[in-house]
Amino acid sequence: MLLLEHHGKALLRRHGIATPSGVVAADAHALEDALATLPERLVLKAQIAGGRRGKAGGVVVAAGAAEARRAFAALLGRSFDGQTAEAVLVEECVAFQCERYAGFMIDGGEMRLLFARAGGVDIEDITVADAANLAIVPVDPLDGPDEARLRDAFARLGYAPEYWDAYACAARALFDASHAHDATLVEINPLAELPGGRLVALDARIVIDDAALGRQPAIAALQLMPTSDAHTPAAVAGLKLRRNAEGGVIGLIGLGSGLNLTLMDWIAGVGSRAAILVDIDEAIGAGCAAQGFAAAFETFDRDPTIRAVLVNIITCSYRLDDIVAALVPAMRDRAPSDGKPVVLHLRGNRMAMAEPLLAAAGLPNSPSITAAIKAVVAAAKG
Amino acid sequence: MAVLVHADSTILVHGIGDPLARFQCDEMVRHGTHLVGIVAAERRELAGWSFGPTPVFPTVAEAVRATRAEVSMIFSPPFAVKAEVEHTIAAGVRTIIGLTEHVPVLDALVLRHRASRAGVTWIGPNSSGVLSPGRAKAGFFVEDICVPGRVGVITKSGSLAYAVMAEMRSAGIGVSTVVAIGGDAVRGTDSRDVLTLFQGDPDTYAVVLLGEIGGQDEEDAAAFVAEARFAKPVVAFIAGRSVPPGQSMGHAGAIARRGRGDYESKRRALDAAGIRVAETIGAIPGLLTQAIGRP
Repeated sequence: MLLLEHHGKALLRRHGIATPSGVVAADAHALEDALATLPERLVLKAQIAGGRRGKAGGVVVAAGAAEARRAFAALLGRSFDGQTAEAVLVEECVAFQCERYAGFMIDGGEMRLLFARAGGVDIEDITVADAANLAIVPVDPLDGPDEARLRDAFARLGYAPEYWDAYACAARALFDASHAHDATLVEINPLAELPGGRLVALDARIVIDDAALGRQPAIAALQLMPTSDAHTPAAVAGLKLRRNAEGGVIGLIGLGSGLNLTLMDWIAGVGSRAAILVDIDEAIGAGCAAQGFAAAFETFDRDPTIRAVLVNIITCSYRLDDIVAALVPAMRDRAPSDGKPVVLHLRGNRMAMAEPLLAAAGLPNSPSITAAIKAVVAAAKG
Repeated sequence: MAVLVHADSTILVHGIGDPLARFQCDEMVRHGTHLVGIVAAERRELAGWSFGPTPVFPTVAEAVRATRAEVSMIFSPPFAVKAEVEHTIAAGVRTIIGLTEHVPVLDALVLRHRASRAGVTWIGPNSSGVLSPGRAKAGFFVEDICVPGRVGVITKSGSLAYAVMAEMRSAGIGVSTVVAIGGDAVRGTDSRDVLTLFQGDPDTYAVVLLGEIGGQDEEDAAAFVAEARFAKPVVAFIAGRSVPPGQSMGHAGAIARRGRGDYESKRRALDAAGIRVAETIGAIPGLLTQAIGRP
């Protein structure tokens, strides 16, 4: 879950990182309150959960109240990359000496702190041209950041020594914020140097681990309103519909992400495409396998691009006879008028008990994945 | 021989409130595995389950004292996994297998380091477990889909390994041990750690490495082979070839991950290490037969 900038900044402040004074405004009334309390020179920033906002015109500097009102009217409700700015962060415009970058991430099984000599919106291009722009400091998740390694990085980046304590504090704050809030990515870009060895975070980009939201109730409560997909039968059964960005003609119901990926590749390799993938594991995990199958078939039968359906399940963790017992009624209850051809390939634990259930329902089981894919691709061609 | 679990391995199960854990206990007994104890801090975890003669212990420390257990299987709920594994490490269990899905990343990272410091083999989380066919079962894999043999299998995904072992079985090729390291971003055990184990196992003649796009595990395994630290034939397969790389990455991710973790990057690393890469899972048995001769 990517936090909005102002939520991220509030979280950084709790860990001792300074941010400009500011007010979040979602209507003209709140803007007037902000104008009454903040200095003349302001920065107005559209609040969207996404990157590259600066380059898309989502950040505007205003020299006074009149300019701020115009900028506010232009930003509020504007769409950036498909996301609407529901609020604008109005902040004092800070006079800084230079823009740096500080980040924390969990990547490749390890924890890392990152610092850059030149931060700001062009950091990626600068770092591609000059790898020495970025220093990556490995962090032991049990001991925390190592001071000597940090100082070595600060020296290599040419940070003035009077700022080193402030950078070390920021490093510690990023580490602490990660532990306290299950953040997997924290980026301050730019992190600006002020006179006198002080730093201020001009932006905050924080990603919280979705798997941890259950123990981060205050953050989970910040989640945006559910999308229109939230009440579909598939969502109710706990399923996520994974749509292939490149389109396709086959609906795929699988179990387990590795085999699902392999089937997508396999189908692509023989010149067809799976349009939508459903991992039935999500419905089984939610205790509603039968509803999951029914919802998946309903989705596929309604979608005019989908011409045929493949159900490929190889299971060791669950009993195959239980899965077949959930699948058979879902197939039987499909509306006959829009039922598309379905190819089954089912293998696994308690196979001998599953086979009679399939036979009784008159459902043939493919002898191999190869045969199943051949059959479903042929069926999709009509 | 085999790796990690053997015919005489003594095994504990934690998190018995989960129906999957209960089913797996029955399955382990069906496979003749030495299930020596169940760790359940509260009796209510056992509600509604008849667990037969297996003794139940309130703490892992007591379980280890009484049974000398060597292997723990963790089915505990996601937020409870970290503490459970920490207690299990402290109690002296040397091999810990985490089956639970959706463990927070930070917990997985802390456990990776705790286990490493203690010299404990921590597999997972989100592992499908380990099976040494004909010897012992400590995970979801069952012998309905594979036969005992001389090929070690390392996989991120359980489901992919089921399909591949079924293909191998059709071709008459058996498995020494299958180890599912789990598909999460942060794992306790990487493919190269398992390669090290297979290197020392005289009954493993070759290894199948089943990877998928994302992360760096396959590249690390390839480097390990290229450095001649693994001398047996390896056949690899990478899932996710048709998925376009580089989607929705943040600033820091994009900086540190540029050109890493996609299919082409993994393929290049494996090819450079002399590892035979199967284009489809159906090609794996043929490549194995070329590598080690008719089984």
